[in-house]
Amino acid sequence: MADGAGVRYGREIGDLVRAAVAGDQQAVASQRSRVETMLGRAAMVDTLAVFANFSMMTRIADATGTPLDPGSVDISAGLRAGLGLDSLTSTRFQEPGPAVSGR
Amino acid sequence: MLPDAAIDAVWRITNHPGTLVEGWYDDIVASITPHQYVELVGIVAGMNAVDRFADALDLDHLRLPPPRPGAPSQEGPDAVVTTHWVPTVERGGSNVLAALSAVPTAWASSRPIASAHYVPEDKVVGDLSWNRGILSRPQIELAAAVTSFANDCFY
Repeated sequence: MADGAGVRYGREIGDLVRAAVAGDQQAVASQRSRVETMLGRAAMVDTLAVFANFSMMTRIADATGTPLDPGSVDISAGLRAGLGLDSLTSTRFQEPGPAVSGR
Repeated sequence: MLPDAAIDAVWRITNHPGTLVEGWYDDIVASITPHQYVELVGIVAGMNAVDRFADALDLDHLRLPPPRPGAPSQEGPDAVVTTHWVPTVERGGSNVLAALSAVPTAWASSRPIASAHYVPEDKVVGDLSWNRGILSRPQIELAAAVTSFANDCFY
């Protein structure tokens, strides 16, 4: 079992999703094969189905100015303040940060 | 023909959703109505799901049905700007579930996609262990979280 946020086969699932978001067809094919080998064909398709749904939901949320839910505002206040997220528009507008040790 | 603002919105929502800001939205709705924009978001977001699913599985895109004649009904609930950039109708639940509420058909079109590809609406928070017997719920939520993060989603 490979780790990924403590979820069984999380690394493989995450790598397939990241390749799909990037739209790198060669990488997607490689990661599809990896997930299919380790988790099965149905799990590979299900992973990409979730990716597809959240390709929709993220666009609905970001295109309509959907705010955080009331239950998320208070508990994330410290995190948002510490990371400067309230004034962050997009990571695409940021200067690359320093390399993280160990990665 | 679509107005230039609508074409810009289709392109930007499809390709750079994480860069959308309220000033950009204000510019778009100077050319099309907020309700037209909400309907557009529903269509573009839904097609992103369907087409990206096909692309990821190396399948042909679904063919769109032929357009039907007739004018838009223009029918819909009274919606006002309160919490989102766009007008919404109070419906309870999470804020993202209200995002398309000003155009009920746009909202209704997104529900079968979400239920089939992710989790049925009543199970999202109503049954945190629900799965369809393939991926576990934590695996489903991990795929959802990685997709949202990789799309630079604020919400």
